Amino acid sequence: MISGCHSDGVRTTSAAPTNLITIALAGQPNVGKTTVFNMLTGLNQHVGNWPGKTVAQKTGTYRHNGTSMELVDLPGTYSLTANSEEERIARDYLIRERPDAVVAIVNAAALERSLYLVAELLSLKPSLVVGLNMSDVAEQNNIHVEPHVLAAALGVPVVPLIAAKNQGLQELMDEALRAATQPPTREPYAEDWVALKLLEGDGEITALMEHALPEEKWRALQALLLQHEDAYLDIAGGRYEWISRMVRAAVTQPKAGAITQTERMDRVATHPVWGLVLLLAMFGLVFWFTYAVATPAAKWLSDNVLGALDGIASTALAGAPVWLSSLVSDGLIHGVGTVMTFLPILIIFFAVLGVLEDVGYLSRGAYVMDRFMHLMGLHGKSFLPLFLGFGCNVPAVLGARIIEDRRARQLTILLAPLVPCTARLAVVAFLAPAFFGSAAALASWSLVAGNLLVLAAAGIAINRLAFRGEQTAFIMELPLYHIPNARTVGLYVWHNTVEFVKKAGTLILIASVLVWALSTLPGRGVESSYLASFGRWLEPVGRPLGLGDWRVIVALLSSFFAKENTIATLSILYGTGEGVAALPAQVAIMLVPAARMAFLVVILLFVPCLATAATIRQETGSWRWTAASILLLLGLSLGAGMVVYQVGSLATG
Amino acid sequence: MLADGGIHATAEVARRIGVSERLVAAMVEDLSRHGFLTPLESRCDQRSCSGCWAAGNCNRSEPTPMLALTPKGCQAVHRPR
Repeated sequence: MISGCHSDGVRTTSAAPTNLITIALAGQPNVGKTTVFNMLTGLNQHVGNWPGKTVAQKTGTYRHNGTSMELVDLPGTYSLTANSEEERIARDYLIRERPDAVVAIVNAAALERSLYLVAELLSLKPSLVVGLNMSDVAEQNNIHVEPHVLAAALGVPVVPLIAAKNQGLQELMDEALRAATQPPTREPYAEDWVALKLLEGDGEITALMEHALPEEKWRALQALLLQHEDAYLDIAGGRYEWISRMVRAAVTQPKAGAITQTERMDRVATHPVWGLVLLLAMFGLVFWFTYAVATPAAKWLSDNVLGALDGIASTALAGAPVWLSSLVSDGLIHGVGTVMTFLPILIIFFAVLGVLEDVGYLSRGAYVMDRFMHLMGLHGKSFLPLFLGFGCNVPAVLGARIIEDRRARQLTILLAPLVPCTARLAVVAFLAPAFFGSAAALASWSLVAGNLLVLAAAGIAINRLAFRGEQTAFIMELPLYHIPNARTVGLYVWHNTVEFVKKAGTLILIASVLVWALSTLPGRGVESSYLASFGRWLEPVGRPLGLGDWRVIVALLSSFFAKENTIATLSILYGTGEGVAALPAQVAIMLVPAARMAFLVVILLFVPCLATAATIRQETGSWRWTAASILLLLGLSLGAGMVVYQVGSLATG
Repeated sequence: MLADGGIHATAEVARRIGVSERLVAAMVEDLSRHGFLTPLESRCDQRSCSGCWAAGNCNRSEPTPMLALTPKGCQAVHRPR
């Protein structure tokens, strides 16, 4: 025999006596049940498998106040319904082996979660003791549990303990021993418990009863059960009501500062009206901040870095073939270089999105938007992928995987590119100050609000076509508001910026070189190029939108490669000899105010980019659906652009 | 409440039925284990976005836990009680 870790308890190394008292340790996963077991049994453990199972069985011996006990560490389970092998093992052991006492370990810091199992154990009517573990964690979280009140409410002894610090284990075993020495009063299967399990639809108990009952009684029982098919929810509801009463009686939890602050802020942020106003104000603020900080930075980069690069390239390539200096200056510096100048705009977008996400606001945004969409009869399952894909259309398409119905999923995917992505917003943010001057923030805000309305209208169409008005519920756990973590936001900005630079160095570069080549060949100047011929052929399509200039049409088409290519192409086609800094102003001169708005509307609603189209093909497995998405967005964007231009022209005379 | 559809925050559910948010969280976990609710992958992750070159543009922070009613859950909430 070796001495134990405390004065009362002594671990044994010898073979266990035959009249061992058996104590079963039950509890949910991660409540510290195994810690209790290890603390008590130390080295005296036997680890094997439960008979016929792959689940580990741990037993150990322990000597307490001169009495030897066998401790059985039951698998961690949430309930005693035979949902998993662990639950079946724990339940079979309690019913068939009938331990002398059961010690239920519960987490004092999450009593609501732990008491469900206790409710089930109580209906089995064993000699039960509750070990209130992690009392220290509960106290740290301002959760004060009164063990004697809980004991009175439950009708069984409750012992507070901190298993990890070996505190309270002796008292726990005192109670366990006392409970174990009481005469057993229960039958193997408590009638109430069997009745509850039958109502819950427990397969094992149902089979057992079918076997045990005479046929006539079984048929009558079966008929009764069929009338109460959904009894599980009522039983669970009853148990949770009971848990709620227990917790109300025994737990006091003064509201922590963060919680009350979150509640206070959510009164506005999740309010059906004020929440929406706040969301729209946030969008406005993002644009205002972008124009106040990022646009001057983008202009500085354009003036100083690109201007200088242009100068250096011209000098260095003075003796080089004309096509080479044109490629470097017009294709690369004006094309890719201009796209790179709106890096400050993207950084601001990424930073604001990162901060809003980290603060905990973006989830509220989705919540408030859903409320709004729901009022308009929109199906949440079609809206969610659309909204959660904000920032990039690819996850919007992937998000449609939550929709089981194939037709509804394909229709949602079809409209996913309507989500405003950061690339489109960056293009708008780049052009808007030159297009609208001091009204740029208001104009951009209106464009995004209009885009969201189109998205809502599209969602309603999906709802009517695919979901036939049926509704689905979602439950989300809104996080507590907290001060944003600089590292988290920084990493978010960094990863996204690196991805953008990679895209600029690959896809945008290739597209820019292609546009440059087509605008240069056959070598008689831009106005006589293949691209100009192609663009002029499309000019009749652009005229009803006020976009009669072939360069604008070609720029829109090039956005199929990547949305940022709109700017690269405009820069290549307009920038020759004009310098890159004045590009937005140059485009503005070519378009009347109504046409400027129409141009930005078309940019926001235009066909999906190559990556999104590829994802649509991958997710639908169909070229026809991919083509349908492109054609639908093409029609929608041109239609919306035309309405904006025609109405705008009438309004401005 | 759930029969009407839409997104419901656990805090809102707790307020409506007069229990603590922690109890609602426990109930949600339980309903999820019993197949009435299913967790949603709300945004790009390594598994769903494998092979997508744009995956780096997705938010890398922890997504907000969100669950949807399963067909079994829908059946239960629409069943007359």
